[in-house]
Amino acid sequence: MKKIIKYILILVVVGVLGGWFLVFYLPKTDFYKNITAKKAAPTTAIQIVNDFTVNEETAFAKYSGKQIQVTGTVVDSQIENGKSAIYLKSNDATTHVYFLLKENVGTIVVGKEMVLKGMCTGFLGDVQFNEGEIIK
Amino acid sequence: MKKVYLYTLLMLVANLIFAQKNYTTKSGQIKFFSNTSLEDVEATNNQVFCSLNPSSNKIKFAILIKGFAFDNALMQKHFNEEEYMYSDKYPKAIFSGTIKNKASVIYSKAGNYKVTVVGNLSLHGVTKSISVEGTLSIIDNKIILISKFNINPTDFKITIPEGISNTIIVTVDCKLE
Repeated sequence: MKKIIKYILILVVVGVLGGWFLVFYLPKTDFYKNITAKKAAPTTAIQIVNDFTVNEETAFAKYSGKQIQVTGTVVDSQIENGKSAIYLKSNDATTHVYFLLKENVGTIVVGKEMVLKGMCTGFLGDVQFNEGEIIK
Repeated sequence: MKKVYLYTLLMLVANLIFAQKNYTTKSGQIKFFSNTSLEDVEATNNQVFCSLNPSSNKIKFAILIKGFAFDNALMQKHFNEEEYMYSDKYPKAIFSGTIKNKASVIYSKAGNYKVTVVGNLSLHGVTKSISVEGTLSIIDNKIILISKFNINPTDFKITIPEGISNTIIVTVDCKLE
C-alpha cells in the first residue's frame, strides 16, 4: 500500500513539474517559438509591399502571423526602444517593409541588400514585421 | 513696451510654426497588463503609429493586434485566436481623438502639460467613446505623449478567461517628431 502511495506521489510531482515546464517554461524559449511559428515562402520587399497594396485583405491572409524571410535594400535604419529598426525599399517610395529586430545590432548601412527573417504582423502604412533577425 | 510686443509676436509666430507641423511616429509603444492567479498577462507593441496635429489638436493611434509580443508564445497564440482578439478578422485597433483642454497646451513652450483626450477607440469590431488622461511633454521640438488608463474588455465584446482580471491596464508612450 505504501508503495502505491509513493508511486502516486511521484506521478503527481512529475505531472505538476511537467505541466509547469510545458505551459510556463517551454513557450518562453526561442526554440519553442521557432518550431511552432507558421511559416511562409521567402519573398522580396518589393513583392510583399506590392501584394499588400494590390489587395490588403488577401495579402494579410497570406502573410500575417507567419515567419517569413524577406530580401531587400535598406533605405533607413534607426534604434527604436532599444532595438534596431530596418526599413526595406519597395517600388513605392512611401511604403516600406518595416522590420523591428529582437535586439540592437549596431550600425546598418543604407543601400545594402539584406536578408531578414521575422513575424509579419500586417500592414499599417508599411508592411510590419517584429521579432526580426538578420539572416544575411 | 516695444520689447513686450516683440516677445509676444515672436511667441505667436513660434506657436504658428509649431502648430502647422504634423507630428508623427511609427515606433510608439503600447503595453498592456492584467494579473491572473497563475501568471501575469503582459504584452508590448513597439510599432504604434501615432500622429498629432497641434493646430487641430487631433490625435490618432493605430496598431496591429498581431504586433503585441508576449514572453510566452502560447499566451500570444491564444490572445490572437477567435475566442479572444480574433486578429485575423479584426487586425487593427484605432483611436481617433481630440485634446479637450487644448488651451492649456502651449506648443511653442517646452514643458509638461496635463491633457485629457476624448475620442473613439475601435477594437475587436466595436467602437466606443473613451476619455483618457495623460501628459504631453514638449522637449527640443519633439512631443512625448504618455498615458496610463484602464479598459474593460467586455465593453469591446472580448471574452476574458476565468481567473483573469476584467480590467486591462494600458500604458502608452509615444515620441513624435
